[in-house]
Amino acid sequence: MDLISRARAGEREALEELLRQNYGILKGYLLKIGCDYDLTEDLIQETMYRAVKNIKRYKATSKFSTWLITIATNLYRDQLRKGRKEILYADITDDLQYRAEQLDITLEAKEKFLQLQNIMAGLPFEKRAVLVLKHYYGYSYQEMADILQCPVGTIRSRLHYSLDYLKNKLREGGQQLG
Amino acid sequence: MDEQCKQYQLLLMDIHFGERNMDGEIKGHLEKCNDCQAYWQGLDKIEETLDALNFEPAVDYPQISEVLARVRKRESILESLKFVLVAICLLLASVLTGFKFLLFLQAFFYLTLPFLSLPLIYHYKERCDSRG
Repeated sequence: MDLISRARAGEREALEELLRQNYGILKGYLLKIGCDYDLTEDLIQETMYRAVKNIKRYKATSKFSTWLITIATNLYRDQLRKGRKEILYADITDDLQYRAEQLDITLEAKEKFLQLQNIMAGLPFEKRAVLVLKHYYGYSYQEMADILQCPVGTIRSRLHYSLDYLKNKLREGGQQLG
Repeated sequence: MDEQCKQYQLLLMDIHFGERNMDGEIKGHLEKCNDCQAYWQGLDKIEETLDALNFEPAVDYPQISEVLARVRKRESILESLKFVLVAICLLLASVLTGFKFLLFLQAFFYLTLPFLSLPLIYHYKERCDSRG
């Protein structure tokens, strides 16, 4: 029996393994779309809880990580709808700066890292999410449309807009990031 | 940049991300349009830049255990609620209908349930043990 089937049958070890395998993707996604650290922790907790609670509803037509990302995206959207001010990368610099140190990257790489956070913060959430899903996770347009619940055409235009935005910002910054 | 180039750049973006294959028409336009050539070359540069944010956070094991414990707690509350609800329904049914046999049925269950449920309790315990 595979991991998903065992998890569906309620086997605790399988559930734990499934969450462990996908934890990095989920947390990385939330931080990359711009969640501040505290909200990321809350959303991870809630996303994993909902996923385990509804594991029987999960149809293995897509990857488990895709399902987690869909739940997390909806939860983040709900937070924004409730009027929560979007706390962006700029506000979590300390945390990510710490992470950069933990990752043992060079000073130059760290500068790029922080600069990119600030640039990405200028994009609205929906556009940032498309860019993150495509670049870091390699989702197809159709998969992104399913996750973000919008037509493929919208995904395409959001991605195009985000790339243009980044290109212009890089040009303004004198290609420092490149 | 004209409208035609905007359309070609959308197609170039699709090709870059593997959503479409390069065809002769797009290739032909790319060869003669400087703007689109710059756009095409810029896509790699942007992706290279985005790699600066590529990090994988470490797994927080206590957080995962906490989630699983929360789910277990919820399940046990739900099971208790179901039991209480069934008991209340049976009691109400016997009181409201006044049917003697319902009262007898209830009395019968109260007396025999502990013995009848032994295999179920054993099965539940086995399941819990296998879950850890």
